[in-house]
Amino acid sequence: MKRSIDISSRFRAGILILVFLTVLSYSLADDETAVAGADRALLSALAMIVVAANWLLSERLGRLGRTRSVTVPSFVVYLVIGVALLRGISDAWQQGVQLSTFCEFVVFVLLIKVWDRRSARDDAQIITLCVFLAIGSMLTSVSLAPNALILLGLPLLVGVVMMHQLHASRERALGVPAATVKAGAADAGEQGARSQRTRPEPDTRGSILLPRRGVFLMRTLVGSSIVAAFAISIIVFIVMPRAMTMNSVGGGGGDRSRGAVTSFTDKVELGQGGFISQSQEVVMELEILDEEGKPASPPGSAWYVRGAVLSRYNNGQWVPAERRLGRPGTAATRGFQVYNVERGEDLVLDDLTRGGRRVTMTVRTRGSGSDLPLFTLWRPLSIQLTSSSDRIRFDTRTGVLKSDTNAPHSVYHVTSAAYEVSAVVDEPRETLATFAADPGLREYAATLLRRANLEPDPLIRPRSDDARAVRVMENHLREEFEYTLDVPAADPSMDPNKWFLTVGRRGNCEYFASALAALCQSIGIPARLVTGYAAAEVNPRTGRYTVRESHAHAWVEAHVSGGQETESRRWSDVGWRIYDPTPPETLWNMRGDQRTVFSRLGEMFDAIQVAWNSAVTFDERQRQALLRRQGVDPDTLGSAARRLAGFFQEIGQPREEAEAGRERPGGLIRVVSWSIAGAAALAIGLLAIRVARRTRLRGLGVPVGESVPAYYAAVVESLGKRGFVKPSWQTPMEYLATVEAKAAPPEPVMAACRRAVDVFYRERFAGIAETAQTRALVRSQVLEAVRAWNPTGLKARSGRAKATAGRAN
Amino acid sequence: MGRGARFTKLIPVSRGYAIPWAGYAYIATIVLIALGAINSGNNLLFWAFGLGVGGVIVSGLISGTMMMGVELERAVPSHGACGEPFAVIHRVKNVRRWMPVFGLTIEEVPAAQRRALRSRAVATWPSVFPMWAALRSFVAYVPPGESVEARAEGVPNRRGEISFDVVRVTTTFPFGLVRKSVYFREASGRAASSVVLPLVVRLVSGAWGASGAEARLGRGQRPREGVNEEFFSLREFVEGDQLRSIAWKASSRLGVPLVRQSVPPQGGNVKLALATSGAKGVELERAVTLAASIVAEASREGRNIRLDIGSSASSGSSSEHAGGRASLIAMLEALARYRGEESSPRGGERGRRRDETHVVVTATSNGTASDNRGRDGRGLDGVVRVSATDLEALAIPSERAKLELLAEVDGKAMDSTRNRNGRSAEVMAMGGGGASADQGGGGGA
Repeated sequence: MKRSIDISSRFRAGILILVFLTVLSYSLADDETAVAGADRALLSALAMIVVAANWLLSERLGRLGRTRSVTVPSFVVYLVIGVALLRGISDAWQQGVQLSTFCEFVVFVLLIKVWDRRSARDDAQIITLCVFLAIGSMLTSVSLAPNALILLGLPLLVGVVMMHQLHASRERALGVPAATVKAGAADAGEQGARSQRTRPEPDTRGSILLPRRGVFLMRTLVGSSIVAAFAISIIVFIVMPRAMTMNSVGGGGGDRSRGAVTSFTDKVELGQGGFISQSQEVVMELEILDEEGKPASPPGSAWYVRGAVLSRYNNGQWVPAERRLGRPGTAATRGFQVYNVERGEDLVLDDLTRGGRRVTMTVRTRGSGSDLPLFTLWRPLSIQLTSSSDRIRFDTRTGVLKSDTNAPHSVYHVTSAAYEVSAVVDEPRETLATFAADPGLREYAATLLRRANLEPDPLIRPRSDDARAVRVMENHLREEFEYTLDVPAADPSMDPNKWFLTVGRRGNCEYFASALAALCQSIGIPARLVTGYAAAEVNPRTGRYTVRESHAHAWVEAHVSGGQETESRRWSDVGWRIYDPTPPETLWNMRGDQRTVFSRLGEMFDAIQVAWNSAVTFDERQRQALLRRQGVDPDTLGSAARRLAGFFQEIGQPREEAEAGRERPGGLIRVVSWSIAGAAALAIGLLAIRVARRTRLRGLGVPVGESVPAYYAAVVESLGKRGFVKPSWQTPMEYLATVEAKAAPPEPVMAACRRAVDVFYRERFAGIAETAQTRALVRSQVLEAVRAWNPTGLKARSGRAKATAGRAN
Repeated sequence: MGRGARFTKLIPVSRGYAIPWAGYAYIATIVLIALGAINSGNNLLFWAFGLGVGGVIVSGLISGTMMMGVELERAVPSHGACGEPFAVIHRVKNVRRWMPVFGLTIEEVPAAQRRALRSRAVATWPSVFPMWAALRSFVAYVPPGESVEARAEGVPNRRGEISFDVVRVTTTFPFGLVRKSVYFREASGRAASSVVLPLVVRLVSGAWGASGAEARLGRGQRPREGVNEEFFSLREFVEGDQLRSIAWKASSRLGVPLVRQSVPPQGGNVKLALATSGAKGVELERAVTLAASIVAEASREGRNIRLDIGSSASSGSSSEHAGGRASLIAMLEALARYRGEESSPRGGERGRRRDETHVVVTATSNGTASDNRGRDGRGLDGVVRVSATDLEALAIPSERAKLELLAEVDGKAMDSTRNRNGRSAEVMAMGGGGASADQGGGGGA
């Protein structure tokens, strides 16, 4: 005999697992979860305990014959939800409307709601909350771990929803008043499959039993649904245009920089959390030779390969300082020089006799290389393009070289001199003094310097102490702070540098470099952030440096004088010097000469991360390229999306404000928040009105919750208002007779009411359906007739009744 | 399975789609996700939006494929009984070869919706069920290529002839986003019909005869009836049974008070007439219930019954006595169709035969005064009159709860019933069985 499977039990378990997975996912997504100071592990543990306790108790009750989950009194549920709501409102009041506030409220509601599963509706609410929390997790973080949990939970979600539909449908069928409806066939699917003529057993335990084949087919449906929906989602994913309204009306919906892959960037954004995976993709190979054509450094040495210099800081972002360009091919405006370089030509950029030690770096890029700048070591003296001619832009202040046409260069040679990058502080003062006026940072730096017996005040401190001061701060960061690629999200109310120094105390190289640059500037030492690669991995076969994406790095150049000089580094008295506050172990890790099994496993995980991050960082350019490869015009949806973008742009930031340059961050959040708050207030108001009305109608004897025709309800309600409340056991006819006997209403009142009841009886019992117009007419006649009637001796119940009665009299 | 049920094929006539609250919430959610995705460029939101759109499409495909493979048959019992479960059997067949069917709700559609369904037939079944009752059944799973039966049960609280027309098969599977319905009706175009028989309650022994009435009233000794009667069976003692009828030995042996039942002294031809002139509503229903109960009781006692209920029902009157289950059902059906017309039962005393007990059931106590009653409990005209106002008193205690169904027909009846209970001695007539009552019928009306 085939054995049936109780899917009700699986359904209950599935919901609990779903709750746990979503809470865990959110915990992983937001490690700043503030549940009374607890961390994410505590939140996950709490969810696990709640879920396990609920499951164990429910199963025990199930063995005792009860099938529903264990519940707590409703007032406890409402109390906890009320407390969570108040807490959320308080948080929103103090910190503004934030996603985490909403998600934490959902977590609380979920954890109490699993103890309040009395009907299918409660199960539906739990499933809905789980979906909301999963979306909240997606918005909080795009990193792999939490979203992998969501992906894992997707089949469970679909299965639970399908099982819920069975339970909800059965509950609808069983929940019919005054008619005993048995779901026998439902629970005897096995019998039905075995023999259609077998009378099914009635359901006595509220369980839904399916034969094994039925469960198999349901699983197949779940799998098919997921595959089909996934395929459709991929199409939508590719077709939907990107970057049309990128945060145009506020930053709702997370940040794409999270979950990024390590790579070179000429813009550093701080404050966003997420895991930064290390791509092992090779970017280029470097051959660094001295003037004699020998390797310029012994094996194991690391070189800082400069790509971009970021001098301007604003709202957690480091970007290159803005400059005006002159006409291409001519002498540029101040700060830039533009050169047309022929292939093979050796372009001299600076005085070749300047500086001390001179090295030549040969760069062989992998891939197109069109997105990359022209990398250099120190300040470049000359460059030779060997693959193609190009127009080169040279920033005389920072020493940065860049192709003006973004043309790819597979091979080029750069000769650099080991001397200061620039002898003068010629950055615009406002970009260098961003942190000078920050008392918090200044005090932090001052504390460090005083501890090292250095004067923090730049007006008093000798210029020769600058190098030492920077070194003190560099060492402090190296020793006291933790390097990690799993970067926590900064408190949005704090500057990311302050947050890193005072709260987070861990981060990637960008945080370290930014913090040092900020500290330097706060005590009057010009400093800037440099991005590029740290070349440390040497290919023993070729002797060349292999530079991978994972070697992307950020460090600091500070304009200092003095300090200890070495023989190999004959610094001039004043100049830009390199400081790297990132703990040096990271550079050693880049050498790649210690490949173990675990490191290979780590690389595999990194590969998954890279694939994931490639998906989450899929942008408009990639989308268009992909569609074009498929022969599809990517702009098909572009115009519509642009119009939509303009619409939202206008909502979030009116044009006049945008033109005036005033920023209104959080526009969408504000619009959506207010919309949701308004909708919630409206819903609560409507609900309150409905409850009040239902209570009042129930008091008047109107059957509430049943499909009572409006004209009949009008009879009962209007007569009830005049003191003739209909007992529930009375039939409509008897009710009218009672009213007539007690109060002898005027004939028009009775005639209208009788007609309404006649119509009601005809529709209900004789199957003669009236038209909507007739029903409306009957109702209006009833209301009109009763409104004009004020029964003698009966006190009008409301002001309106009084008014109408007075008018009638 | 209902009595006399036979499956008839139903054909789909129309389809319906409705979006439940869950569907609206889903749509609102994916719209918000789309807005969030467009604004933020968060690729996960784009993917979630795509997944949401995919969910809608997949939901439509699954439910559409499922519902197009559903065939329906219905078996309506030829008759049911008031106060007893009435089951309509729906047989759902899944004609798909690979696609299962999950989560079907099958519902008999009330007549009020038939206009929208363009069906000429009429569903009158709600008229015999409590207000707001629905006949629904639920099928969790129908395997591909197989059939499953489901019972939609309700308890009718009224008698009458009813019909069933349109059936709605609904599902919200798989995701509850759309409620899809398929409406079926009889392939013949005619509504399926059934008769709900009147409420029948067990009456106290001899309730419609003099001895029973006396015993119930507790006023006197049962006359000598039964002394020489042939033993028929033993049954449990119920309130109202005479002490002398207790089978003491058997009772002591089994530890339960038992009473002897005897074969009626007369072979038992009974003519039952229903006089309900002017009675309506609950009064009429009580009279019909009493008459049906007497018919059932007489049939149980093996008597031949001739029913005379005037011209209200075409088959309501019979000129010959009849016995057996078939005739019992026929008479109950006649009572089920009885509408309480003004005309009096034909025949009356003039039509009474000498070998039969003539019982007249009246709706009210008017006209059944005891002043024309003789010592044997019969009226002076030899007719036994029983009033429906004494229905509670005539029913055995364990059956009295059933009478609350009649109160659902007319709530006022409950008050009336309670009032009448206080003067339940108003039994107008006693008789039958040839016995005589020594205290002659008690007080007047």
